[in-house]
Amino acid sequence: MSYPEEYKVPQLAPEDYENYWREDVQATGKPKQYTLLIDLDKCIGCKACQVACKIENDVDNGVFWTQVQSMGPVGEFPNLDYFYFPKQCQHCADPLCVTVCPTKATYKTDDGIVLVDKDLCFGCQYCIWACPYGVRTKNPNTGMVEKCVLCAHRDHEHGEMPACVVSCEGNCRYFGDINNPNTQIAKYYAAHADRAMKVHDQFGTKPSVIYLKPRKGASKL
Amino acid sequence: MPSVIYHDDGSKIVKTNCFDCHSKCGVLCHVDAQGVLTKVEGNPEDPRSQGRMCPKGRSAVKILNDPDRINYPMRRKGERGGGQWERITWDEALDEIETRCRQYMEMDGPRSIVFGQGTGRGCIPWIQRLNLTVSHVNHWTSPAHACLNPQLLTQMITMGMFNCWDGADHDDSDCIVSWGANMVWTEGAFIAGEVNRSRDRAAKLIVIDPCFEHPLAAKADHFLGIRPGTDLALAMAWIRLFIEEDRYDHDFIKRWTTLPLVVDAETEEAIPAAKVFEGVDEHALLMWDEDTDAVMLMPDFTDPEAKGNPALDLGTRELTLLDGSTIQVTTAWEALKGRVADMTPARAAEICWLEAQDIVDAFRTYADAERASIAMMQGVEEHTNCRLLIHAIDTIMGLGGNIDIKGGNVWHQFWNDMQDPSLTTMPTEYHAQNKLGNEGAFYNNSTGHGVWDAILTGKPYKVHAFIGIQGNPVSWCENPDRVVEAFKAIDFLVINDYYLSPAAQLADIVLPAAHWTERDFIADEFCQEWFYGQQKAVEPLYERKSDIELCRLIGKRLAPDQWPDDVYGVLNIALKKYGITYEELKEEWCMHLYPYREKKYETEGFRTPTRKAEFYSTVFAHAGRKDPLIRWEPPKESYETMPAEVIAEFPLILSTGRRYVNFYHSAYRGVPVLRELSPEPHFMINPTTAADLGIEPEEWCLIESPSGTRPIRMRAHVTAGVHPRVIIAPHGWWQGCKELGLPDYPDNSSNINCLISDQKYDPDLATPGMRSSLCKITKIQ
Repeated sequence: MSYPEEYKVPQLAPEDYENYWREDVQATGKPKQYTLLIDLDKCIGCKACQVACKIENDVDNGVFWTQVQSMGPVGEFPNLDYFYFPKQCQHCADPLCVTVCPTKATYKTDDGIVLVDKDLCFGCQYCIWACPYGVRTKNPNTGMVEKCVLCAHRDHEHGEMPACVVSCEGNCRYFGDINNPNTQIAKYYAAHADRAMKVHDQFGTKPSVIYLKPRKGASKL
Repeated sequence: MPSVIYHDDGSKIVKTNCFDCHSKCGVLCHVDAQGVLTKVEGNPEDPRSQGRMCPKGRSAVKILNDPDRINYPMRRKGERGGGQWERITWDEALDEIETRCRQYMEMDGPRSIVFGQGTGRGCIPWIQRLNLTVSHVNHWTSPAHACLNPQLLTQMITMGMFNCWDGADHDDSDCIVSWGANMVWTEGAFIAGEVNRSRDRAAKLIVIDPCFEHPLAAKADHFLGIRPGTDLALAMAWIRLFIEEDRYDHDFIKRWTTLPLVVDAETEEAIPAAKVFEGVDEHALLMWDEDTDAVMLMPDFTDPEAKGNPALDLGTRELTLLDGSTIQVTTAWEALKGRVADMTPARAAEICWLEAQDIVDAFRTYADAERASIAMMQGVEEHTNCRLLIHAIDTIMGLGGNIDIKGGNVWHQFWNDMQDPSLTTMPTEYHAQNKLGNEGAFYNNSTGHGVWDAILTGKPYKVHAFIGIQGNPVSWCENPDRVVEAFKAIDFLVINDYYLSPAAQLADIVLPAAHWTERDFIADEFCQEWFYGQQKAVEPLYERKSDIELCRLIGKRLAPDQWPDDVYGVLNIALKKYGITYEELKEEWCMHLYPYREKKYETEGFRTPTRKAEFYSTVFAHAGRKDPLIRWEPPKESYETMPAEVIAEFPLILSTGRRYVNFYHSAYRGVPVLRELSPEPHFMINPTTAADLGIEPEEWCLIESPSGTRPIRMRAHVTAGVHPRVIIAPHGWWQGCKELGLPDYPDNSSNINCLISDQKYDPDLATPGMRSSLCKITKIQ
């Protein structure tokens, strides 16, 4: 080696590359509720989540499992409100989509995730009508209904995060077992609970995705 | 630590850096046992991006395999631009390039060959080297006149450093100013994390931008929705406030800047010390010592023994010269005070369409912050008054005491080394740098405009060949119809690119460019304290070659003694001064070559002729505007400067070139996952203006300008996020997306640069008014 030692930058051990996007936490024995938390104050509308989701899950053109919406600008220039709202399946505790599904293709896992069984779905779209959040799409190519699966193929059990969380440029997305106080999501939620909200709670489906209100730019929210 | 991690199944993870924009975020490329790139993820080891990743980088596998990519060298068949091509070998392509270039060089000299680029994809010094070693003149042609160089040049001239862009230290800042910049999008994976971390620490945020659909506008403590092109008036008002409210850093201004220089009270020219003292250097200058109340040689405070207490508020004094005559003198500081004297917050508010109190409040937030950083970008650059504006913002950084401190605007050494003559072979003597186009006295290369003129008129000399490496001048240049005209007339046009761009469509030979996943290179620009071995993850697909390899191959043919025998040899030229080789850099992946140390100027001085921060510039005093200081000057195409009948016909202000989060200039519109986010070109228009013109949301409209060559077509995005008299329109639209059924935009029909004048420039920097022109909108009936 011909160069000074201080040129070197600390690096991970080879095995750590496999585990980096995992969160290794002590289990508590309580029932799990995998939850997504999105801090709207930090979302900068870069849509990294939206594209990462499509690439990770190989989602077809024209279909979106997660989508960043621009809310506003509302008001008169330059006194305006404006924020970004990433929307995707809310993984409700009492999901209407599960209730209305005639073939039980839509179901809820023990960990709190709502999934669609592709073998059972025949594209009747009852779930699309029932969902208060407009986050389900009928894929025109397959005729089946699709939506966010929280990257269920990833190893949630061992703390692996969904692609949208891994990519988030603003560090506004958190994922994990909200019932376990040792997780990052539970800690972040506890520190910012004053800004927490659920979207359209009045529909009674008990959405599990937690949003944190923007500190500015959303006076009517 | 090896930079490739091998798995038992034959697959591997390659550590490298993305280059789908200038951030060069560290990434992990997953490659299967067959050598196929399967996935790209952020690398958490990158001290800047920490594993975050933007939509473009995430799409790398799609970009690598995009069916629209050029995969083989091709030669034109039939007439130019006719779309008929034959595949040829690399040897045939290089033979033809060599033969024809040698023929032109013999006929009209080596300078009849011009090399050009777009963003350069990191290759700027190498394309310059090609130009200088082959053509022997510095007519390397790029969009640098509108991108980066206005800041880089102005800052190098005023301070001998480049301390914005990656020098804006958001992470340690107490007040982040985003001034005509959108770095959480343009360098998002890196900057968004920094800005959000600092906001968690309750750092203040100031956004100065005409667009409220800016990701930080609504989050800002102060949003100044400025009239495009008038930022200079705002900056001057801040300077006036610094002085009036006595909030400036006295010690820094007195000891480390040229503002205490003694100047002629009438002409504001610096008085040479040789006129007052015998036996002093002819370049020596004077300051006034407050303690002895007498003139003195300018002290150099890098010398700990240096004495003197330079006066600022001197008023006017009489000075007796060696020849016995007397003159009235003052300080450059007094001259600066005079320049900003009438720029009260009220006057600036009127010029800028702001509220005076908002200007004052934002100023106090910046001035009161212990450490404050300013990020500026194209929003301050693409104006015909940009030198004055950037010069004024540099002055603000100095007044705030924020230069080269953590949390302020820091000096990263890389930028001083970037265009080192050992890389570019550029002569250091300015007069030897022979360039085409003299619109900008300090612009250090040929302007596109100068080159197109030479191609079309043969003046000042004949240009027979243009060789473009990763660039699409038909997209980046003002007045692109002129580019098309020149490219139709030129004897020999060679374009290397990912895609068959409008420039490539006119070429005689098209060459396939390798993506960053396919090339060995160095990631250095915008990398702050670090250097990266940006190694390839996969072997180049088809017959693609990297830009650096193409530079070397052409160089080897036309200037063989100046170019090494392989790419590593070229890269080692750049690494020689650090005492490392490319093999070593690649093995380490990331090296900490420039550890940061605050206030280097205290020991090294500033790299300017006076070794001070030259807010009174001894360089700007001699060319261009011939003005060492700032002054108010409206944009050349504005309400202040155009005749009333022109303003009546073109009543709106046009700001172009706002960046997308999902495209890199004109590239990647053919990639469905990215194109879905912005399917069509939209301009922003305020609802009241749209209503007045009878324009509905999403309606196709024509945009025209007084300098434009043609009306262009875009759809209306009706939004309250812009002022009723401002139109914001994007650049880079030519490509369709077959998979999504979206058509091309041929013949510059949606090319916003058709509206930008190629006659109105910043006289110092050659920058056109891309963000401050006039326009009108009409609905397409």
